Amino acid sequence: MAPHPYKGLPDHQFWKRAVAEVGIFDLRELYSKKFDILPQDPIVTAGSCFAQHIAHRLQNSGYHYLDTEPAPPQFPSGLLEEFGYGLYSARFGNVYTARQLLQLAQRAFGAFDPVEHLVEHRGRVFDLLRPSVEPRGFASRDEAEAMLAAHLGAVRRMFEQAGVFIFTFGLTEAWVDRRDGTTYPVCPGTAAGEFDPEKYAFKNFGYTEIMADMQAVIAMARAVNPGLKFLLTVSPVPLVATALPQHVLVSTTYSKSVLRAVAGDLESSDPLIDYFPSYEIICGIPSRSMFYLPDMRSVHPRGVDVVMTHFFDQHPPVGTGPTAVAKIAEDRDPVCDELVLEQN
Amino acid sequence: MAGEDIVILPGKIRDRLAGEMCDTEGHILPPDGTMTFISFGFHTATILSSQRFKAHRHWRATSFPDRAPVSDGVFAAMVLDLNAEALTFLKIMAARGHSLAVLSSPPPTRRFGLLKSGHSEADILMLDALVRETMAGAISALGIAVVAPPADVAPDGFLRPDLMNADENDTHHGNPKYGELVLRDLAARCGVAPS
Repeated sequence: MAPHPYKGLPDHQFWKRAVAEVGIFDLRELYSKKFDILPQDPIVTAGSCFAQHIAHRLQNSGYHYLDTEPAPPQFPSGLLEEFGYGLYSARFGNVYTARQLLQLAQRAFGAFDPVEHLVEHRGRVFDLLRPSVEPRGFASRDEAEAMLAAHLGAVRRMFEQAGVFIFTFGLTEAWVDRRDGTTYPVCPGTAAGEFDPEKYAFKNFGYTEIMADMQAVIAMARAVNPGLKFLLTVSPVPLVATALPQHVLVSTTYSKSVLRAVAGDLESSDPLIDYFPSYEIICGIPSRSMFYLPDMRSVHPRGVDVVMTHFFDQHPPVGTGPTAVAKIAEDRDPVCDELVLEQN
Repeated sequence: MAGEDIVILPGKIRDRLAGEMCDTEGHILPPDGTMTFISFGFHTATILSSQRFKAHRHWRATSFPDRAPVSDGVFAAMVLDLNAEALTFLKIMAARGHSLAVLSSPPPTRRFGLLKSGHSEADILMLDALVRETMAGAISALGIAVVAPPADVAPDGFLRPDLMNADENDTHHGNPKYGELVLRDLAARCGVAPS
C-alpha cells in the first residue's frame, strides 16, 4: 500500500511546523521564486499604494529600476511625490484596479480614448485618471493634454522596455464613466472634479472581469515585449471606504480575496508570472496585525522590512552600499489617492 | 525669523556694503527706515542653463522637442528651488523689518548663450516671462515690492542694443544708460524729481 499523500511532505507545508511553532520573523520558504531577476533586467512597478514600498526598496537595492518619466535632475526631493515623480515607473499615480491598468495600457497604445477625464474645477484643469500628479491642476487644457501625451509615451516605453513588471492589486471597487467605462482611481468629485450621478457609476469588479482584464494587459504588453515577466502581489492595505451598503471590513475581505484568487490563478497558468506573498506576510495570522499602524491601514516600515526580507532572500540585492532592507529610515508614507475619501 | 542674524560672508560684497547695509564683520545692520533695493532672482539665463533643464523643457517650449516636458507647476517649483536661498534671505530681512524692493534684472539680451545652444528667441522670451512671473509672485507674497524693467527698454522683448553693456562678453547686464532709465523710472514711481 502506498503512503498517503501528506506523508513525507516538507515542514513548510504543515501549519503546525511552519507557522504555529515559529514566529512571524522565522517563517521559512514562504516564497520560492519562479524565475531569476537579473541585475540588468529593467524592473517596473505599478499598482496600489503598497506597491510604492516595493518600488522604493527596489530602487535602493541595486536592481535596474526603470523610470521612464523621471523628474528633472536635482528636482527638490521634498516635492517629488507631490508631483507624482518616482512613485512608480511613470507618473500614472495609483493604479488600484485591473481595469485601470488595462485602460492605461490601451491609452498608451492608442486603443482607448476616454470620453472625458480632463475636468475644469475652480479655473484649473484636473486629470481624473491621475489626480495626484499635479497638485494644483493644470493651467489650461492645452497644458494638460501636452503633459498627457508625454506621459502616455512614457507608459508605452515602460511596457516596451520592462523586463519584469511588478503589479500590486489594490481594489475591486471603482467608479466608472457610464458612457464608455473609463475607470477612475478615485471617485470623481473627491480628489478633483464634481460628482455627477448621470455620468459616473459605482462598479465592483468580480473575479471573471479582473481575470479577463489582466489577461488582456498581459497580452497587450507581450505583443510589444514578448518575454515580459510579471510579478504579482496583493496590497495588504484595507479599503479606506466602501461604496457598497455593508461594513468596510466585509468589503475589504471580499476585495482582497478576489484579487488574491486572480493573482494565484494567473501565477499557476503561466511560467513567466510569479506571485509574491506580501499580502500573506502582513495580513496573515502569524503577524497578528502587528505591522499595521494605529489606523489599522498603514503598514509600518518594519512590516515592509519583513516583506522585503523574503523577497530579497530569493532575489538578493545586488551591488554594494546600503541594501534596501536597511533603508527603513528613508521609508515614508506612500501616496494614496484613495485617502481623499476620508476627507469627505 | 525676526531674530535671525544674517552675515554677509563674501569679503568683496561685505566691504562694499559695510557701513550702509552691514557692519565691518558683515552683520546686517538693524532697519532704520531706509529703502533697500536688491537685484537678484530674475536671471533667466542662469536658470535655463542649469543641469535641471538638460533633459527637460517647459511644455510650451519648442526648441528641444525630444526633451521631456514639465508642467507650469513643475517649472515654477524648479525656479523657486533655484532661488530658495535668495527667497529665504528676503523673508528674514522682511521679518526683521527692513524696507525692501527687488529690482527685476534687465530683459534678456540677444547675447544670451542660450540662443547659441539652440533655444529659440520665442522660447527665451516665453520662459523669461514665466521666470519673472514666478519670482515676482513669490517675492510679492513676502510683502516685498518687485520693480519691473522700465517700459520701452525691450520693444521686441529683448533688451535694446543701445542699452547693453559695451563689453561684448557681458551677456545680461544693462549699461549706465539702462541704469539711468531704471533710476528715472524709480524716481517717477516714488514721485521724486530726478536729479
